[in-house]
Amino acid sequence: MSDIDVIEEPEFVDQGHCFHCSAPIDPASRFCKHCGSAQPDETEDLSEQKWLDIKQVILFFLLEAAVCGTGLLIKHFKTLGWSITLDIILAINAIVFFGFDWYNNKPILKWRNFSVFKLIGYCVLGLACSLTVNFFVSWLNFSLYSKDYSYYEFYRKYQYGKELTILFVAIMPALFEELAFRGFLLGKLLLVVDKKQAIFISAFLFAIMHMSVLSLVWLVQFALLLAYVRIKENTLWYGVFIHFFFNFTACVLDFTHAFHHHLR
Amino acid sequence: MEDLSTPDAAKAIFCAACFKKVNNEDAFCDACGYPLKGTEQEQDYFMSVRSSREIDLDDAYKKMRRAGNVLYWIAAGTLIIGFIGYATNKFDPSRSVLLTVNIILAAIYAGLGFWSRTKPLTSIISGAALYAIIFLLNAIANPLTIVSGIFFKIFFVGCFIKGVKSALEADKIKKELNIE
Repeated sequence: MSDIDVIEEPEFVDQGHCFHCSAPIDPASRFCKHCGSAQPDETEDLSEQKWLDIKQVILFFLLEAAVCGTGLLIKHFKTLGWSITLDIILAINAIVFFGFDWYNNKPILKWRNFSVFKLIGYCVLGLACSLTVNFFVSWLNFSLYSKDYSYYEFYRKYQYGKELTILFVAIMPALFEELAFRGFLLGKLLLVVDKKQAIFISAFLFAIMHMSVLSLVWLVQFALLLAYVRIKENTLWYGVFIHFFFNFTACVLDFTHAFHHHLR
Repeated sequence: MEDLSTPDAAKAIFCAACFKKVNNEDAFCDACGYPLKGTEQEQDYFMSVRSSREIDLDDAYKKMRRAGNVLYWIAAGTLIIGFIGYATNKFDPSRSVLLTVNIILAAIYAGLGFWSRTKPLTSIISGAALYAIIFLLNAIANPLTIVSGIFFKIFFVGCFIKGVKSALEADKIKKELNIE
């Protein structure tokens, strides 16, 4: 299974010869040194394709931003029903854009290098990141606004509030944000720019999508980590678990916080 | 092209167009296609085509630089709007928070503008995305903001789009001419 990538790659098998005069040339040559013909190069006419990829990224980003902004700013949408609807729209957006180029995107849904130890390591990493961030964020929020912000607050008044919180704060984002930003977006960006820049752009877009200036600081770093892990491991799943444990830890902290608050 | 005739240059000589090392027996440079053994006319023709592409490249660089400058202008605009808002809404309790947000945003725009000199594509895409998100948020909160300064907005977005396209074009031309 693991050598599928290797088999798919080479298309120009006879690159060692000029396609025009058949004289032997260096495979890296862009022109034949005997007849001067330009050699067909698969990266040659990509600038149009790259612009098309960027336009897809723009469309995806604007849709995502419009939905997030609507949920954030318009009071009418701040109900449980609307919140769930918007979450579902975001999920559909992620699935549609990811599925649109299914053939090229599906390899990262595979989990060939699955390892329990690695998975546990990444889960612990997510948990540790979350604890660190939560510590600083609650301190920052408290010192800036003298109040504590909680995810749980929104779902708390409903029946099954905890379950809803875990579903919509930990599970859904871990799956669909990963699919959208580390799946579709990073995949597209890798076609346009090099790895480092693709990681940066995807992390920056992910961070500003959360529409909070304060969280930019840690969101960018967290997204850099997720994008790096996705490229290093060549699968989406480790990132999904890091993201899940990151958000799940935040939920649990919220629950315990609310519990102590209630006791008081 | 004197190098070709000197007996000392037994093996390696340099292409007159892209300065890549080429072999003495090669008829064409395998990196840029320069006719090493062509007639003077062929070589002149090649060089004139090449220099017209270099002009295209310069043009692309100019557009990228302008998109980078737009990021600086937006940074300055954000800062000015932030201070005006702070000064005019004296009784708004959130005015200092808004000012801080504007200062941070301006710093991000300026940082991206600075970075656009070395990594134009990445910083222009990031800056344009930030600009788009702020525009969307303002439009959702208050639809009237869509029309305020609409000509500036169209100009900025136009510069971003041209900047991104030029960055792609510049990569293509650089590869074609074997520069860097």
